[in-house]
Amino acid sequence: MGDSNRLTLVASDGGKFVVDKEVVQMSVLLKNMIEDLGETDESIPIPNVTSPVLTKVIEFCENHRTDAARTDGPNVDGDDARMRTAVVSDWDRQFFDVDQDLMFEIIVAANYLDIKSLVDVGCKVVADMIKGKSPQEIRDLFDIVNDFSPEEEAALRKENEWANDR
Amino acid sequence: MPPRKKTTQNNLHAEVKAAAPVWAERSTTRNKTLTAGTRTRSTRTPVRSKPRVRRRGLDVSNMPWDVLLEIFSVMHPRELLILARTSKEYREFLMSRNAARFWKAARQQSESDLPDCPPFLSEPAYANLVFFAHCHNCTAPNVKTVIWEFLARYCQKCKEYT
Repeated sequence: MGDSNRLTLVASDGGKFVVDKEVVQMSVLLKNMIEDLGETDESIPIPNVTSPVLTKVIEFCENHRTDAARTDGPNVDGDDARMRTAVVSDWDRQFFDVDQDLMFEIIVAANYLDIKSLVDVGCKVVADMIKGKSPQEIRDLFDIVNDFSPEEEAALRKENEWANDR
Repeated sequence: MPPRKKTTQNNLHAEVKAAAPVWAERSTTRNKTLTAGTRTRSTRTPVRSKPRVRRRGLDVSNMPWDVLLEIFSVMHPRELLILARTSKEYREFLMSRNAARFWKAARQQSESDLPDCPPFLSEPAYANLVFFAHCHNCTAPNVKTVIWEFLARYCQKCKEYT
């Protein structure tokens, strides 16, 4: 404590993380919180995020701290442009090379903490995992149980069911 | 935020029932078994839910809605349709009327020059028509042209037959 450039974050399981303020501020939620609190030595509890997830989130923010200024700047292109231009670097891909539970927990935490770049990259990674796969391959990927009967599955290919749902 | 979602969902059910009795009838029976059983209740009373193998990953029933929106809107509508063919839960979720925004976002993001979904077609139906080249009668593959008058694709055989 005492160092005004660093803050302590406390994960839901009590894990403590001392992080640069600049890094913490990549989270819009925490940035606003810090602004509201003003200068304080108190640690910030993050009740929805566990230590392993918070470790990863901080790792991402530490790595992307330099490009924070860029996205924070006068970028008023709106959400659509943001989505389309989200680039998944090799580092990001490596970063998300974790088990699926953790991967989705990171995305959910990023969404909660409002770290747009992390949400975007995570969603892109998930979308890329699904891309070009057959229904069966997706089931294998996400452990989805196929509960359609063979007849139902055949009918799905015709897709008549929802054709009138308006 | 959550109460708002609830009301829209309720309105939505009413709306769908009023607008499309055939579809609604079918879906309410399914809702009883699926939506009520797996989605709504299982999150609140985990004791009652079957001792299911913990599912990895993309668990639509437990993911925050806005995260799903983010994921689905960077997917291509073709992939959404394939996802909707993996299981009943996914299908129920993606074919519900409040999922229309996912389809719209996916379409606008990946095929921005495609005309808007015609008002008499649902977004998934539109995606099926535009992105899947199979005959809408016999499901034969590689039917390249859409017959816009019928909003369908028919293979040569089926075309001659009708």
